[in-house]
Amino acid sequence: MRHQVAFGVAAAIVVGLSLTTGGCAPEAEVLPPLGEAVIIVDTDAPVPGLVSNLRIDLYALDGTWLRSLDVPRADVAGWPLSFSVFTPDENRGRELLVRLRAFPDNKVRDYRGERFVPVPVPVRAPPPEDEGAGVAAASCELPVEAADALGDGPEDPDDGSPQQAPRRLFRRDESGALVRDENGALEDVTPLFEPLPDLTIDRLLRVRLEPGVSGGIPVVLRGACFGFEADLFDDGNGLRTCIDTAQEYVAVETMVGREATTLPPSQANTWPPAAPCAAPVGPDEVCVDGGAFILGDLTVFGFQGFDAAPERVAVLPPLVADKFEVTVGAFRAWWDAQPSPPAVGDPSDPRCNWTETPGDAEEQALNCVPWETARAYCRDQGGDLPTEAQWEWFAAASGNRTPRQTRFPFGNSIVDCDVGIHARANDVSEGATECNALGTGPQPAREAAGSATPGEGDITPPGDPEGLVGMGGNVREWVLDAHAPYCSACWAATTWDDPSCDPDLLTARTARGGDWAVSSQLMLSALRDIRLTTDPTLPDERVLQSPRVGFRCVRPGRAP
Amino acid sequence: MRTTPTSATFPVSAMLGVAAGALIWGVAGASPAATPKASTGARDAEADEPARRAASTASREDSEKPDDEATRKTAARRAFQKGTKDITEFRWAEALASFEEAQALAPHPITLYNIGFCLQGMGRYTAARDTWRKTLVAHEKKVGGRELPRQRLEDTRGYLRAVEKAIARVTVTVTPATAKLAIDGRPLSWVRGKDARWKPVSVEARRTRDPRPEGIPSPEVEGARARAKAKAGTAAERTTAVAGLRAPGPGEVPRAETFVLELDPGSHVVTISRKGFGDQVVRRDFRPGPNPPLDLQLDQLPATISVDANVDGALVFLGERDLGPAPVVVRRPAGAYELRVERDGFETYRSQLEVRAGEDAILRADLAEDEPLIVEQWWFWTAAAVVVAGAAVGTYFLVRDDPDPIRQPVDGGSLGVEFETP
Repeated sequence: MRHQVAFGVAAAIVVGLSLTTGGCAPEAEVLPPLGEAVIIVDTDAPVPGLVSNLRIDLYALDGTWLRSLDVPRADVAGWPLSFSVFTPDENRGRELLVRLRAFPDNKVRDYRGERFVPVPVPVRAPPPEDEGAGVAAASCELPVEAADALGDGPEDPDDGSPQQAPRRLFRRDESGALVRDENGALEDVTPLFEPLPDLTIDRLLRVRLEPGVSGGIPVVLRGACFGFEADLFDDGNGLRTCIDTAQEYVAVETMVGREATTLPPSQANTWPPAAPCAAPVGPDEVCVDGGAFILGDLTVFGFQGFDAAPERVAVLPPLVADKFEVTVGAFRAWWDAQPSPPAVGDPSDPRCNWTETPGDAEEQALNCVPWETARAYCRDQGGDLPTEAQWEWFAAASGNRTPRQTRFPFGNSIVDCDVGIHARANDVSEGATECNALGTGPQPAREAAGSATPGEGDITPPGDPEGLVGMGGNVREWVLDAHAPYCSACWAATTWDDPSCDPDLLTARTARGGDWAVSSQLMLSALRDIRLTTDPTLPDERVLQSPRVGFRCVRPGRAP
Repeated sequence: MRTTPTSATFPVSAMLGVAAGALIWGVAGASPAATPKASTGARDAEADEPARRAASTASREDSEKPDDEATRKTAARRAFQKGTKDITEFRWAEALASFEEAQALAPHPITLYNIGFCLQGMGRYTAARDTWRKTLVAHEKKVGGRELPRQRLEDTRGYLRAVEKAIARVTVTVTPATAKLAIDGRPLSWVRGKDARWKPVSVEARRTRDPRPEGIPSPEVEGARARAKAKAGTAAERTTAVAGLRAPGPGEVPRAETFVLELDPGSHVVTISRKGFGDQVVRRDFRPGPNPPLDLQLDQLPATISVDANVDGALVFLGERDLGPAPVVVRRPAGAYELRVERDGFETYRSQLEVRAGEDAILRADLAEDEPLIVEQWWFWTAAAVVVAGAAVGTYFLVRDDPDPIRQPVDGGSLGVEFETP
């Protein structure tokens, strides 16, 4: 203890003199900051439509999982956000991996950690050359390696051996040291769930913490990276991640926090770019703005090839769509103009409403029309059949609806007989019959809601904000794609950008939207039912047309 | 009064907290003066014959005592029965209170035995050991005219051996030796010393001629003692203290500078007080058996720094740490600190202060309102620091000195989350 005494006038005088002569008092020495990176996370994706949660994971370079944190951020005002990683070591730097995953609410699965193992095939492989592989090669099951790895129990990351997949997370204290209980055991705190990869923007950063260097690392989780899992397995080519371009992985670069740590304005909801429909629209057409939504519905599962799973993010361009299903009369105008009119309908089936001369069914939605014929009609109108994603966008998410995505074209619940033409089979061998007192078989397209007073205003089913009539019920509608499971290679080869499974790949076709013979539960927007083929060499599946199936057309909606 | 001799043996699993694992414990259910009603509570038909005899004897003697004595015994019996019931449901504290009440009304070796059992169940191993030793004394002296049944006598000795392994032992050195010491707010009991409050029970010692009255120590303890002996001199010179036996009260000066402390395993608060210094509190965890030595060097103890200000809402900074608005009281290791007290509209008060180990430093910062430079400086330098440290008066150098280096704090981002990288 120093025994200097500095009280009193003498001291005051001395000090006063020193101040007047020596100027200011010495400033405290400022030590260099600890090595720190403030990671500022923003997203350009729709919040909360496609992003309402952020998962933050920290790994050591050897893959040891250090931390995991879930941050709910369903409010756009909550973006961007920032957190910091630092090392208290003043002498030696550290490097670590930071994995950021943005994903929508409830879109999680049981933890698998499969991206820590080598993936047998690239996640987004180009479509196989041969036709059959488009459907057959892919499996909706886990990769074998990941399935095997699931059997691994908790492991001790301190035993010196490199960690095997899947990674487990063990509790650590604030300094990052592993916490052991009184028996020396580690506490496994691996998250039970992980975001569904197809609905997640997954970004991997390699962060270097240098003593004395403290600053920000701004990161924008770009919607373009939806569905591209970061590659945490270094197979010798380094770690890879998607930054801002669909279907493009780039090597993970080492970043040091040197930028400002203040939060910039959020970029949320700037992706996908606004895509207003700007094409001229005819009287029976609807102009539908483009946008992003979740294609598929995990709850529509167990239909095997018809499953609407796995879900994926899809972005649709603006489109002009027929307001009504194509009627017999509208089709006749085209058919009459054909030099060699195609065969339509089946005279032996009284449910088919096509007649070669005008009859009573001119206003009805045409049925018993082959896929090729329907497509030829649409092409001649300057459009095409809608793809599955386009059709589902119309039915489930287009427009300004609440909630943003609905399970049925008319909302989230099943409906009574007066909404949508459904349950109108003649007898139970044909389908549901609860509503057949209102008539059986296909109905006039303009009365697709079964309204007692036909008219445009009141036949739009509730919850169908674009005014597309008959999306649920009346006749099912041909879509353009080849029918392949969503987990098939054909679909895996697509990106979020107007995805479609090439119709030339297979002859199997899909029709959407339920028909006059199903109960209202089966008018699910995501249900991809009826698999028909137009290939006459496949006799078992040869169903060229159906009294349940009709169509409507779409054409591009961008300004000409 | 007629009684039906009764006893019950309740299998009670208890963890002793050591490698012994789960042991099957028996609790003596034989009331000192059991009644026929008590027999209905017996769960185990297998009677403990010695206990039955003891109880029977007790009840015969009871009937010959005067009425007030009989009333007392009835109350004791009721308390004993309640304790027996509680103990089967692992309500150790309630059972203990009941048995202690019964023991106060009518001392009996079996009641003592059960008290020890409750203490053991509560993890108070030193107290359990003490009680079981007293049980053996009471048995020898035939307290209340009774002995322990043979089985209970053997049980008691077994428990004494077992509990010995559960007790934590640590060699404590206190410097300076004049400091007063308390563990968990209780003074220590001294096993060996000029005026030991509690003399070790001699039964076991006499029988086994064991020079160590504490019981039978584990090999580890023997090893630790051998090492301690080499360091501290002969065994005779060594002193052992036991924590957890005495009633709460102020600390006392240890009998020796270095001694072996026996205490229950777990977390304990060691309080050291010395004239002129504030109480120093050290929290330590102890495990069963030998523990690393505990050096209580007051010179290395933290100092207490109290800072007050003449204006409300002044913020106190010690080094780079924000201590919040004055007044604040903090404990810091001895050493030099830069003290800063500031408030908007007032000239910041700065002081370089140096505190000694264990010292109480009380400072008052006089903050002057922002004024022109000369006056500002004048007020700055007339800020008064009052240092009160009991007999030891610390004096603080109030001129500006080289301040402690400062470092910008870690940024937690908008989430306020900082991940430290191991």
